[in-house]
Amino acid sequence: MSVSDTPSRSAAEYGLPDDEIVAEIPVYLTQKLDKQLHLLQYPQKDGSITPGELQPREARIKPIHGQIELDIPLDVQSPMYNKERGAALGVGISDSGRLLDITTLVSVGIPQNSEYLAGVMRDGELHLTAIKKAIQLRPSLRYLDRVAEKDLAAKKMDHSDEEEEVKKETKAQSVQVTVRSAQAEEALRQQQSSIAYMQQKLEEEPWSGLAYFDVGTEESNAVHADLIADNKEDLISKTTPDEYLTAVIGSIVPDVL
Amino acid sequence: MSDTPDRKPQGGRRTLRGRGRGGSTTPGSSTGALPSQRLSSLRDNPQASTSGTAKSAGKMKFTPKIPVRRNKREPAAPSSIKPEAAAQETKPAEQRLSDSKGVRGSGPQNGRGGRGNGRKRVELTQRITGPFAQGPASLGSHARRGPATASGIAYGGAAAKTEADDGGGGLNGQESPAVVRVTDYNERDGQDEFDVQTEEMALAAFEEMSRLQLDYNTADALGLGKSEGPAEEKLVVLQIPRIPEFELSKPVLQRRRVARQQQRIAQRQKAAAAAMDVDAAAVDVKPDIAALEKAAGADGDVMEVDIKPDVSAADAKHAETADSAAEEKAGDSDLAASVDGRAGTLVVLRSGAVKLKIGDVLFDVSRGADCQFLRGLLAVDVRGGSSSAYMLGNVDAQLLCTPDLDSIL
Repeated sequence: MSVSDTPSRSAAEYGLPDDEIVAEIPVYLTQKLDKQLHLLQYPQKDGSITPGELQPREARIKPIHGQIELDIPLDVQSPMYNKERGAALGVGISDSGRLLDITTLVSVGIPQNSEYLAGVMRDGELHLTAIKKAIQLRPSLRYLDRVAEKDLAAKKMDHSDEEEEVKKETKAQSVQVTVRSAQAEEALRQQQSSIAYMQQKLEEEPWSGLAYFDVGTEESNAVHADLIADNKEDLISKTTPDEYLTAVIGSIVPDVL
Repeated sequence: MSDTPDRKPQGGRRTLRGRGRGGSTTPGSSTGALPSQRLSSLRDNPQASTSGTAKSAGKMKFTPKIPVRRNKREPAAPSSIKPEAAAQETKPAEQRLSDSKGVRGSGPQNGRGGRGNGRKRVELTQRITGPFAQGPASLGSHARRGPATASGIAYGGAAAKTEADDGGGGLNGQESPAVVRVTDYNERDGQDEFDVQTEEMALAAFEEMSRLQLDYNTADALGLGKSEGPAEEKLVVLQIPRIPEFELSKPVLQRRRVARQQQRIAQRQKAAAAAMDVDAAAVDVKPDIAALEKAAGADGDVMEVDIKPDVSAADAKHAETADSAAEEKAGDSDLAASVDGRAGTLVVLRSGAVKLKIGDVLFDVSRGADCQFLRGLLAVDVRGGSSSAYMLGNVDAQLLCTPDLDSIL
């Protein structure tokens, strides 16, 4: 993209009359993907890795809450991989004796203080689409919980030597859950605003499969094309600068409650 | 004992002086200056009184005004009371105090610089409040009564070991609660190396920073710098307080509406053609459709005609018009929802500043904080029964848009 060849003009219309315009880039706004775009942050991953390295073997989503899980494979053949530990922890994934060969990344929503737009700079044009949500992906240690559960169950079995007891316990647990949720509306009403309730709701929503298409795949490229606006015509702005400022100030929620 | 002329005691001090010399002699010292280097505080400060706690006459009572730590280190400065000097002296005491009380130096307080050189000393004091306000218990209450005799010296809170306290030190007369001189031990070691940061230095640093800011080329983030060739695409994230609202201009709306209708009509035509049992009414309707294509008016729902063959042509048309009108409205709302088009301009100026004008609102664009970790853009589609996620790429840069208040207000 070449820096503008037009004779340099004053930047008066941009509030700096003494300055010259060196480059001018049209900015386009499109909404085709704006219900779908998520900004992902991988706090534990370095910014320089290539997209292909994070291709998950399996992906899951809870559509209502928007939580995503990605199973990123680990290299079990690597000399750095500790097979004994892998086997011990693999119990947390399945009973089949497989090694721990995935890292599960779970998404956590990030509070947003301002609006975010994704921009594609292409051929001297900037195409913007609003980002719906920003999330962070962090490793989930659920397999450790499962390992602990299994250990506990195993110990109980050794102690009492009665399988029924274990079953009873699990049964008891499940019964407890039903009772809780079937319980009265009064309790529910109170609970509904509590974080614990929301957490529970989140856990109750089942995972559904998520088809993941990495960068470079056909499907992904097709969707990527939706980031570019088709229509190059000018849009009419509905907000005057004054209204804009009022709206911005009004939307700021103070942190102090 | 000594060879010095035995003088009449001219004051308690004198006597003490005379006696205190032990073995060293200097015959010529008639003025009474002690030849020995010891006990310099006594030598220089004839006024310092013993505060009545002098022990037996034979014993030297060393009572400086400043609490002195009983260690091998001799007080560097005489007990002439200079605040700076005092600070030096009280440092060891503070050290112990600080250690015992856990009061850490609030080092990077404003205007604070290295202290060691003694050139410029910034006094940092911190009020002791709460249970420690009365100072250490070891002091004994008499020392705390009333305002201090020591002038302007913040009481360093001599630790228990110093017995020489009873005269000197005391609460700082200026403030009633005990005050601790705070030292930042992290900086203590570097004291000799650092200069105090004066205001001029601070201003210079600020200017330097501002200059650097301009060089921190925002344009590079967008791949517009001359150093970069005609680039690959860059993915950036723009942070903006709020996205202004837009709507499509009339001509565009019109165009889209017509296009959509043509589409619909074309579809129905195909469907109609497929249906072989087209009655005369349907056939009649077709030319109408063709005629109406150019107009904005709604038209031809041939399917309806097929389904209700009994309906007369006139009625069919009515129904069609109504249906199409409804469809048109639905279509319009779809169109209105998907705003697509040119929203504004981004300009890079010679000074390095980057401005963005979206609609009528002007923004300053600056570079967001550098992000060490990976950021990606994911499009998640949960419509329909199945969900899909499309990874669209890594984010290359983040830009911050701040409304240019000068232009708005």
